[in-house]
Amino acid sequence: MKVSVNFDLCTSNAVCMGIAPEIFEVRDDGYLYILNENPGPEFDSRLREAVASCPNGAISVEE
Amino acid sequence: MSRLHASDHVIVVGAGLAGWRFVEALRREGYDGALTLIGDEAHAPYDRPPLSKQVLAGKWSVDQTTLATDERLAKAQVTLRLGTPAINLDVATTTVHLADGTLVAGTHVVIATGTRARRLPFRASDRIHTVRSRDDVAFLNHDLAVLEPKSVVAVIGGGFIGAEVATALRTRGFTPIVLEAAERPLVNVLGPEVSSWLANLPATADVELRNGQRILDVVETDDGFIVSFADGGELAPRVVIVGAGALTNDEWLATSGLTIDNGVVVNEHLLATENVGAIGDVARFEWANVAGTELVRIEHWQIANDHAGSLAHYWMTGQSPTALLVPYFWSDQYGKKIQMLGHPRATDDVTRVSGGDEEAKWVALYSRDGIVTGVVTLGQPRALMLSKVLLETPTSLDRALANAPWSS
Ligand SMILES: Cc1cc2nc3c(=O)[nH]c(=O)nc-3n(C[C@H](O)[C@H](O)[C@H](O)COP(=O)(O)OP(=O)(O)OC[C@H]3O[C@@H](n4cnc5c(N)ncnc54)[C@H](O)[C@@H]3O)c2cc1C
Ligand code: SF4
Repeated sequence: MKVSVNFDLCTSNAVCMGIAPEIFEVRDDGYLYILNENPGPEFDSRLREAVASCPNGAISVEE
Repeated sequence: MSRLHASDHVIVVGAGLAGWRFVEALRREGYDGALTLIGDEAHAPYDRPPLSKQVLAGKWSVDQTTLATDERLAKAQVTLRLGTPAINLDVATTTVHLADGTLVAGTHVVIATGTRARRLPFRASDRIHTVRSRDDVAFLNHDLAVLEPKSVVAVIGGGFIGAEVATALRTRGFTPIVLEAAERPLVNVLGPEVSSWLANLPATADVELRNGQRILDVVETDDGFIVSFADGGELAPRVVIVGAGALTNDEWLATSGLTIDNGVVVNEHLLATENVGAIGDVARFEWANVAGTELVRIEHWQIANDHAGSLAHYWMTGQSPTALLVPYFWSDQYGKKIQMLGHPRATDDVTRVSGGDEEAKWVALYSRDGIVTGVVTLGQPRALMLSKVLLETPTSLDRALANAPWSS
């Protein structure tokens, strides 16, 4: 799966990091970093949870 | 337990966040039977948090809050019944009665009717605004549109909604005055210490906060309102808004036979009966957490979201999440972000583990009987989420302080 974040919508609240810290990290500079843009299938369910949990609908994944 | 089949018909009552996310989750889980979503508002499901933030501040149009876009609605293959309240539920036959006289009979019912804003019994009550729905914001904007810049707007209640509304009004050039009944905003939610660390926020955003205000009445005048106080004082705002908490929308279930007690009471699977569930703001559910199991009702965006996914998964697979549910809440107020994990009580012990008032950035741990029950941060999203582990398995305060996950 390919992960992308719409940074115009992202407010760096780190919700996605709380769900999948291997993929999303909000650093002390206040920005969100995508650590792995092409995570393996073992991340499918947590990625879906991150997509649904982002309060700004900023995350999308392409199968 | 019965799994859902193509011959079933799932009826979702309440077309808000929880109801809509349930529809989406059920389809994602592979359900291909009939699905009906009933809502009393005229709008397709939309998101509420931006209403008191971006929308009221004039930064977003209301359309940007839409959750159920035409494309998503088509994909969800859901029959929408908008603008019609449900007035009764026959539990035995899983039939929903609508106010227009029609009956909708199904095999499963999800109750997702949420909460509504509490109104206060003042004489001008009908003219006092609340901020819960799109229509509320449209009505408020209509009244604000005729005001000159700097006009005084009274905001009754300094809690989360009141603070966000005051912030938005200030951004638009009005003069909000926040009237708080308690000695400080949020003291009954976050406790004395944490609320005291937030006490200066309104001033930093140039918003006037008046604490300990006992309001006797609000009456309408030719060009605004008179708010009268127990100490004899008066205030003459042009518009009055109240943010005084929410009431559960469960009256329509009064004769259904379901247990209604500050919300619809459901078990750990969010079920009231095998075929009737309740999710989101209206659900009083059995919550397993680090301190034990308790019956709670939690009015957080993320809870509505999580409930929707959990119930859909349970009805499709018979499985509930194995991990503990860690509630998450945020509020954007006075230019700052407050975030919370867990569901701590105002009476829990509080330990500030990093930061201070001066830098307006800090991390606070809540604990009860020596076990961490919550984390609240101001302007520290990274530290908050690094601390989530403390609520995923029971962690003593001593161990939390030794490991200090927030600083890793
Ligand atoms: C202005 C505002 C700002 C917020 N900000 C935040 C925030 O920053 N962070 C956060 O965590 N949470 C926030 N929340 C809370 C969050 O929006 C709610 O927790 C969430 O909306 C709950 O979703 P729900 O679907 O359970 O209920 P609701 O969103 O209330 O939806 C219930 C729907 O059911 C409808 N309904 C009611 N009775 C009937 C009936 N008899 N028949 C048919 N339909 C009915 C209602 O009209 C409504 O459309 C905010 C809420 C508001 C109002
Ligand atoms: S959850 Fe959404 S808004 Fe929050 S940091 Fe992740 S992408 Fe950004």
